[in-house]
Amino acid sequence: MSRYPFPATPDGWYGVGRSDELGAGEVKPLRHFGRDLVCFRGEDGVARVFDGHCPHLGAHLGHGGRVVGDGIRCPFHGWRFDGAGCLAEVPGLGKKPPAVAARSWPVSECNGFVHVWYHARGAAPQYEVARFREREGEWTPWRTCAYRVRVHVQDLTENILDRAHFPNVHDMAPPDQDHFDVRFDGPRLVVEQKLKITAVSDAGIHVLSRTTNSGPGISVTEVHQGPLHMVNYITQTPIDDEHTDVRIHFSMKRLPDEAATRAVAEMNERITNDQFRQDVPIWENRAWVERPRLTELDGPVAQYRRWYRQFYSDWDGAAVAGDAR
Amino acid sequence: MRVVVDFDLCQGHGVCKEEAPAVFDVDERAGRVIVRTETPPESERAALTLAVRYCPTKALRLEE
Repeated sequence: MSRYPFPATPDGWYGVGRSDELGAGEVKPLRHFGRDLVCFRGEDGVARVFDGHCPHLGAHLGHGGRVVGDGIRCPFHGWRFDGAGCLAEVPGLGKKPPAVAARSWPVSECNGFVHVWYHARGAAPQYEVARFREREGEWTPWRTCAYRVRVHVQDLTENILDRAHFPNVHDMAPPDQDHFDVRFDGPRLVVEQKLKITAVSDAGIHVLSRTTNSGPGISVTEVHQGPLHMVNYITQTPIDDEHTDVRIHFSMKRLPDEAATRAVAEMNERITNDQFRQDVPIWENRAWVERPRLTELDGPVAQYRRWYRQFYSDWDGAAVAGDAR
Repeated sequence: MRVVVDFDLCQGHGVCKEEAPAVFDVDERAGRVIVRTETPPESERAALTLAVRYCPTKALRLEE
């Protein structure tokens, strides 16, 4: 039983892995949105995501399936599906195969990640993933930390604009009143804030942070601090009704000195992951409060929750809440 | 001066009524604010400014 009145998976793009972890011809099983899926890269170089189980007799294509051309062959009876998921061959049948298909999911590969589109009512993608890697300079390869957390993705994103929790849960000074800007823009949510991190020294490190959320699944925080320019590319993808797969991918613009680059990357990784782990016990045991008595110290939580309703095409509450006037 | 309520956000917490009782009331059953007068007198400005600032859902604003 979910802790929340709304669906476990809002509509949107979700990360399902790094591009460099899926070579041509590689096949991986996935478990997301309460379903079994298979992700593979065809010999044409295109990443694809299908329903995991073969429509014939249910074998999992992600466990022993093999890439053939732009499609995949089932490990059980050798049925071959093409790049669109249509059955292309039944070995030994000697005639045109029946009109059967493995469900193919929309995929967008950009920023160095494979993203899959989920929509509760099966609608086609309604926005694009914001692009980040097409920028100047030389960037370090992604360093990734993966977590499995009992949290709804809506709570993960709410955390970014919940400014009142920063001093209490994290070793951070409250964000500067004059540098806290939240913009709701269609499927995107952009939060800019000046933060003072006191985890490393009492004097604190002042950083300018801009988080761009592309819908519910992708949250990218760019951090500027002096000569440093860093990116935390966070993919948060529901696993089932209760759990979310959270991956924090870090990359930074290389400094002239390689050792300095490595030292900064390691420090960032430590701070980011310490902060993440500080949030986890709150998230895992939190309850949904429908009418929170917010104060002026809180961020725009009510506006955030209204913005979020657009991602619940399959929830009556999204319409009901909006019509309560 | 004009009071504008975003009824999509209002949950009827009643903070505005505490700050500016001459301007606001709360419909407890519907869980939303009632604006007694949409164009309040200038004498209410200070109270209204506090009502806008302290609204839990940031559902209020003033238009000139």
